[in-house]
Amino acid sequence: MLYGYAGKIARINLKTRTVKIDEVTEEMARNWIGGRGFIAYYVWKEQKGVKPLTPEHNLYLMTGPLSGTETPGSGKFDIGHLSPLTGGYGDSNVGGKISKAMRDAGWDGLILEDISPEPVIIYIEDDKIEFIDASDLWGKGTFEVEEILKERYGQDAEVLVIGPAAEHLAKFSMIHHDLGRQAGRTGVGTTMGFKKVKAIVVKGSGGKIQYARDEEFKKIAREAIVACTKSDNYDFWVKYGTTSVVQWSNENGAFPTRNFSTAYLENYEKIDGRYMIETYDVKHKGCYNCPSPCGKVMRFTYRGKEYVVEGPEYETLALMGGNLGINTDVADVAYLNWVADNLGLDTISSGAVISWAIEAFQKGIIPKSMVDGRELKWNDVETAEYLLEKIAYREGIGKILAEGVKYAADYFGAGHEFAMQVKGQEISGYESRWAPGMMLAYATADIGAHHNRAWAITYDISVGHKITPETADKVIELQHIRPMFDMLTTCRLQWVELGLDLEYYAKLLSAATGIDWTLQDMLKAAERVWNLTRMIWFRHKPGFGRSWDYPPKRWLEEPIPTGPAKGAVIPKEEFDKLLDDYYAKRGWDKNGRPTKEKLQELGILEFVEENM
Amino acid sequence: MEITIKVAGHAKEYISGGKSTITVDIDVPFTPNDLIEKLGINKGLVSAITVGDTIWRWNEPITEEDMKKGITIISPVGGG
Repeated sequence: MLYGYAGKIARINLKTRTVKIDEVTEEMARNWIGGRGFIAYYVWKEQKGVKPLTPEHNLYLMTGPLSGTETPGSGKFDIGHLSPLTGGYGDSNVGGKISKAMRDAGWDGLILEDISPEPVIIYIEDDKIEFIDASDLWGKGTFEVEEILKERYGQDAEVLVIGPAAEHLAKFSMIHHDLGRQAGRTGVGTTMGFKKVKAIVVKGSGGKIQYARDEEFKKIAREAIVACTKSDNYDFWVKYGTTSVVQWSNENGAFPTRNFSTAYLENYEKIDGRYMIETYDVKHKGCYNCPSPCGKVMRFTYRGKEYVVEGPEYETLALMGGNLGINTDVADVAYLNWVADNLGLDTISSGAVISWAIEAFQKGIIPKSMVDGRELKWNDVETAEYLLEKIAYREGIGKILAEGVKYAADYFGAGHEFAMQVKGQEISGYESRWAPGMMLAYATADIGAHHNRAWAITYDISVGHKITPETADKVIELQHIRPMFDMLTTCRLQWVELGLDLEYYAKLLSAATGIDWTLQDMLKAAERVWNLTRMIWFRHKPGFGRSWDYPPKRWLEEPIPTGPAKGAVIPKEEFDKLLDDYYAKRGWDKNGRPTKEKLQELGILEFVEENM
Repeated sequence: MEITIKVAGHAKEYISGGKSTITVDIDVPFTPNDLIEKLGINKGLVSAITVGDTIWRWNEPITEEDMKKGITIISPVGGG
């Protein structure tokens, strides 16, 4: 018996409508823990030679051993694949209640194989897995479909759903859940849409998973919950969630503004957390077993119609707010948040792609004839809404923009220097021209640019924005800690925001599984995954290596023109030295490839060589 | 006027030597910017200054009446 796990993963073939069961082995648990670890393991093991959006391209949906347990913030769920946006490794996590439902139904995860002949709902109720026609739901928005499915299957049914953008294979489509949570990044929704899976509905009766040391586990979890609620940051965090970061980010010159052309948004106070909380009806919402709900559900009226949207949280305020030059009112951003959510688009990539399009239009790269004779303008909700719709339905200019900002610059043969992406994924919400650690974190993130992998910006501030002998070490340390949460599939914010001691997670994992995990063991497992995902890029992207680990030219050549960080830039020569240091400390060669010695040290050389 | 301010979050070590409070002599009313300057701390390490549970604007005066609600320096979120 494998404590802490359901012990099985459903391998669902959508073409043949058959289900096989993969056993979760102790070896998998010890090497890869779960969540993102299992995803990387499977991608390496069974996706050799596979291209995204082909019948052989699988989608992996995984829980971890602490998912849906009494662990604080255990409502996370990880979804991954070979990304149709980047062609390399990709994963994204979503909070809510789906992981609890999956584990209650007795599954550690799902593997979706092949393509359904017609739109389908995968309905899971304990051991029962059924395929239900979804033709009537195809084309509908995410909010409507989730409400229909909750009505149909009961409020206790948990739903993952895609929107029209994924149906049309926009490459940065997301998977929506819990009426406001999303697995937003790397185009996980695109892969689900390609498979013609409109929704996955899960109901579980519970009692399927046993902890090795049940009483001890629950006692530690209770202590951890109490530690969270006693944090001196607790009240502040619960009141504002991530919306408070807007002020901090602007005051430090870190706020993406008009396609990262600068880093300070004039009049940002109209889109920040305090304005939002004081002006609108905002309610708190958390994921399963969350002691510190970060979700801020905002009710607002826009053009005479009432909307409710979970958010906008910081990343959306940054990318769909400041980066589009919007400083009129947080309701403008909230409306665009709702539109993107309903269409099923990632707000981070959407904001980056739209802002690139506006700048490209204003520089004469995109002709007026390609945008129906319109002017594409900053601080203009109609411009953004127009482009969101075009992208989601792949109409006109949307056919190009739906491929992501890197493709768009390639298509026009211009605008690469301000195409704000790394490895084909658009950069999230932190200007880094004064933050070398953060820049390195974006450049080396294993899914393309994403802050979730390492948020090194406060380290940069604490050392005066300089490159130090420890900058690369700090980034590496964070690149193991943060993804570790995606292996456990728990939320990192109790650690990040409330300072919950990381040792709790080792104690909880040990008590749940009966395997004696130390924190160092867990971080070593995270490093194992990091090296494997790096190898996935080498295996799947011809020519992959060092040249893929750079930020766009704007960050290396254009000093920030305005705001508190005015004049800041990190020249390429300095970044090169930092990258050299990073590779050396990782045990990678000068092209950024893990050495045999490193893979041997991590115990995966044989596994890697078998599937290279 | 000598006032005591709470310091919360990960960056206590940078702001108050790891302590949960810090005392400062400052003219009232003062703004969060004034306070930061007086303390000589890195503004980047302060995610917000709150009065009661409300984020205060950087140039917004804090009065004696406001001070009764308690002032807290919130350190920037997380160690990463």
